[in-house]
Amino acid sequence: MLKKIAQIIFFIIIVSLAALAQFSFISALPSFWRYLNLPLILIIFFLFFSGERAAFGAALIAGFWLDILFFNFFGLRIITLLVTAWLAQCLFLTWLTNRSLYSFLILILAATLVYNFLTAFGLFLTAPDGTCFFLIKESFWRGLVYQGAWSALAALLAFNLVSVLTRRFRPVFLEKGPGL
Amino acid sequence: MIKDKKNKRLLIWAVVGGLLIFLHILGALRPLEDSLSALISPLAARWQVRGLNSALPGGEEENIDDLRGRINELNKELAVQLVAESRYREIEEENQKLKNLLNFLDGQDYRTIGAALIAREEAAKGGYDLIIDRGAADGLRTGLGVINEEGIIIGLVKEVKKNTAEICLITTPDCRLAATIQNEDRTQGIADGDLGLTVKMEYIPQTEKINLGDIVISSGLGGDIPRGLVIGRVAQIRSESNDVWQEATIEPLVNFNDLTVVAVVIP
Repeated sequence: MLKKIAQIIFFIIIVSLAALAQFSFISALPSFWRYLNLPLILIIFFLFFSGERAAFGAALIAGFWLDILFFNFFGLRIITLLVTAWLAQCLFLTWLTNRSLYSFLILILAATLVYNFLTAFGLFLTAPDGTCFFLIKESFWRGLVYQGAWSALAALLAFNLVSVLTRRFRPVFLEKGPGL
Repeated sequence: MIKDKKNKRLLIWAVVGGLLIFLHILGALRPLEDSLSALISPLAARWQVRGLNSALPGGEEENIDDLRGRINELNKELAVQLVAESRYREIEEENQKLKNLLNFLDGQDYRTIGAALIAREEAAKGGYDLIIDRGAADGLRTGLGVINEEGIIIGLVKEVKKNTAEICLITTPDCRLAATIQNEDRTQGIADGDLGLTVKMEYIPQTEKINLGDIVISSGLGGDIPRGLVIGRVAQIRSESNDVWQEATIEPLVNFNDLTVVAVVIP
């Protein structure tokens, strides 16, 4: 029981630190680096390696922190992160049948696409800037490409790291088992 | 059966998220939100400085660091001189024309509240907004001016929470303030951010003579911003003989990427 509580506290601290780092540290970095989306990467990481409960929990905690700290309407990040986690879970269960690097890459890239689209759409609805629709804005697509690159990089690193540490996953190719 | 269980779980997460949003709308979460944001502000300010000082490629300090450092130093010196000069000119003019106005602010009769930057957020129309660790609890309100350590105006308070505030930079579109060009005609107008890079002043009558390098200051009209705060200097003038108006592009005297500490001006 005590171990379980300690795990939950550790989980909350890790997700909170990721959200805080996103808010203050990453936002101050030079242009390309500031597109790293640490909470989103963490959520997909949890979804892939730990299951939906950790992923939805991380989405809720990170979304809550970001909604408190930023000045957009409260709920934007909670909603977008939860919906992203849910769509990623649907994709994971329906289309991606194994836990390979390719699955992880597709999952994280799809989540990045969904998250960016939902956030931009949420901002477009709640705080219209009087300019053009976000889909025809260069900044939206640039942000998406940069975030996609970061997500792919993070997926490669995370998957290889986990496969080295646990030997549960094969980094690239599935190997033949002894009976095959 | 399994699907039902999954749907139930999903519904629980959606309900928890919806409840948080509902409680926020009711204001029930405000004490928690305020204490959490106050709690993390010092750490966020430190991380913001670390992020700015990081030696990652892609920043402005990528190469020829010494040279850039020297340029920054000289720019700062120049900015200090320009502020001093503009203040002197303002005071001189006040002495000549407005010394009978008791309520006039001479650029030093205002209170400032120091604040640390805790985050930056991309603005929808270009550039980015800043978030500082002072808010309504410190007396901040929407529309107040924000200056850097040299007294140059960098932006306006756009939105406030209890312990934090969002600042729009003067280069962000729709971040507007009343301005005066320090030329012979004392041209007045509205300075508005342009693409997150410069400031523009439109609808200046062709009869007014503007010169490159003229200093632009806040005019003190119609708002909470005192007169005489330096905005920048005229870098470009767009004037066609067949047009009724001319337009000036104002170059800010501040490197917004270097900001870590600012002051909010309370008139």
